[in-house]
Amino acid sequence: MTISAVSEAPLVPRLELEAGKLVGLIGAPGFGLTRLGLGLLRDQPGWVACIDVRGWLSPAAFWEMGVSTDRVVVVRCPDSHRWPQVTAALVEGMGAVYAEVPSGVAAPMLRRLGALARARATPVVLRPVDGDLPAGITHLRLEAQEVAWEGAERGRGRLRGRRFTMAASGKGMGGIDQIIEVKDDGADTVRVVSGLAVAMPRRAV
Amino acid sequence: MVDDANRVVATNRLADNVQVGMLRREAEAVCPAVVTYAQDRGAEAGAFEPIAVAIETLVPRLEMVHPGLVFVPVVGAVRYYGGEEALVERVREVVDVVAGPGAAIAVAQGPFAARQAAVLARDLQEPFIVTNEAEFLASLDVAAIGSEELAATFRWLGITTLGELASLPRAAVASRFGTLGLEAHRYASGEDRTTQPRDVPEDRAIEEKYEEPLVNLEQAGFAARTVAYRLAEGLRADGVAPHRVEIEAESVAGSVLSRVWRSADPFDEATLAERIRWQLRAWVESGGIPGGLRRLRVTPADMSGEGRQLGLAEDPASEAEATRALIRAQALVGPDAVLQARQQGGRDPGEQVQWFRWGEAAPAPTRDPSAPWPGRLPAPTPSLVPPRPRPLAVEWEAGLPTRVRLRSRWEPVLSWAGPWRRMGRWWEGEPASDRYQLVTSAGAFLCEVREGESYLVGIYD
Repeated sequence: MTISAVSEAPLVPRLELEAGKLVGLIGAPGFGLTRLGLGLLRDQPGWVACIDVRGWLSPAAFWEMGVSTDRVVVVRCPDSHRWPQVTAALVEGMGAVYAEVPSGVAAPMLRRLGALARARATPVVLRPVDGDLPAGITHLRLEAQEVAWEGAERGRGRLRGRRFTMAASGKGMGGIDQIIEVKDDGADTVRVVSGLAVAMPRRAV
Repeated sequence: MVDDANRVVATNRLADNVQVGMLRREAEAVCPAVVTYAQDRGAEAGAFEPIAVAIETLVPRLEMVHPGLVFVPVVGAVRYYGGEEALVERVREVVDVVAGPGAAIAVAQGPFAARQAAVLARDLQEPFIVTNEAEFLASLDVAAIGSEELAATFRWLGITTLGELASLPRAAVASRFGTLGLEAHRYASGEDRTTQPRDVPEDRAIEEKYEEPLVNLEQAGFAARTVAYRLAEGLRADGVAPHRVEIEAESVAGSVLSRVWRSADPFDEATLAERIRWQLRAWVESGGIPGGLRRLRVTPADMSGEGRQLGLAEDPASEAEATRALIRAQALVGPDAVLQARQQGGRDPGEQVQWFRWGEAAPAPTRDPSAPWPGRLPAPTPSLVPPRPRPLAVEWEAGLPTRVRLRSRWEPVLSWAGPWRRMGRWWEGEPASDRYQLVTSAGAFLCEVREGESYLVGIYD
């Protein structure tokens, strides 16, 4: 079984969860970020909590990704007012946390959550269900750009795998923004296959 | 005095404006001349030991919670000394002799009520005897349950006192707030463990004898860890953990000392080692073990089933932290929203998942996972599955999908696979349906077409 989210080439960034660090997965549903996030959780020791804002997370995808659900707990929390408390409680005690972020959670709350994750050395994946995360919150920010599926042909075949590109930025990238390509084989492997290019610097607003 | 987290736990009169709970930096900001010391629970146990010994001259077998808080079973002593007031007066006299005035003494039927009454006694600066426990508990603020988050939730629901909480149906509280809510309801109803010593099975006790007597604190600390480890290991196999332990030490000179420690949460290995170390240090520093420690015995009591058996790779400390975190999450969102899942058979992604509450035994699968399930969709499975199919706008031309509406935008269908025909449960009036995998530039979606209408049943995210 291939280790998930680990680069094949030495110059390509390693996508791994680090103790006390926040990873942000930005993009509309459909680009493959949920499976990428679940792949990151696979080798985490201890209990893992997944905060499910819409009640849509499917454990069937966990099993396909090789994540054992014996030590995974899904916490459903659609209320954005209660979300910070619930997430903070889980960050305090769990081995790792995958948290969908509802719209309406204030930036200072997310910063406090980041501080708590650092203090407790808990790796956290943040996945906003709508929109973006405030700047500077995450150690590594992965923003989906394009996705291409393989296997389905006008009524024939079936979905088999996909390649998608992401803009990777943040301290986790050493300050150098990159466009990276990720391959998802549809089973238990999501891995970075190449760093396509250094991203264009963003224009100051 | 600050704890490990740099929070102020005690102050004196000279520390102007410094309050318990402040961070050390805040305390230094409001009172620049303040001098801070790190809290040393072992030294506190040593300082408190003379008080415990003094109380034990009146009432035997008291139970320590932490240095500064002690429960005393008084049923027999009240009769012996001729009433609660007389007993309280005697206790106050002996404590005043060794520690000076200021002790907060309270009498109640249960430990929870006694502890709350002691808080009142401290504020009133005189002993407090609870005569009507139900009335006393009912008048307490809901914050007395000890969980700020749960108390805030109760307040938000209009429940401000323990009496109001106790008047709610217990089943409803347990269903909404899980283990923590149930515990709060028990406390509010005046139900908690009593401090009456009970018989303890002999075979649970751990005893170590030392050929070379232990004469210093370092050796005592090591002995504490070893005994705690052996006890925790032995109990873990049975899936139980103690809420009380009796620590017994025998000195070379032949004197035998014993003390009972109790905790609302069951003792784990680390907390047990800590209590044994504190107690040994207190005895050593008070000269209670002349010539050194020859025998150490720890007897557990008041077992609860919260000591789950751990796997090889599981760390007891992280297990306890995770359990606490999940209990708090249950209190915030309810036990029906803190779930685990098990794989079972089924044709659709939603059917293949059996949810059950965290902390409860997994139910038997309702669908056989080894059955063939014709019409089952091939992998990969959508990672996002709405609880119910959601209407989806899809344009069709000659029976082929051409465009799909995602939010406010129409996306062309780049490719598609299917249909997978699903014969509905016709005997229940369920119509047949077709499922399609639709691929757009914004991702792939699982779509179900039923009676001419299209529905979103999964997103391949």
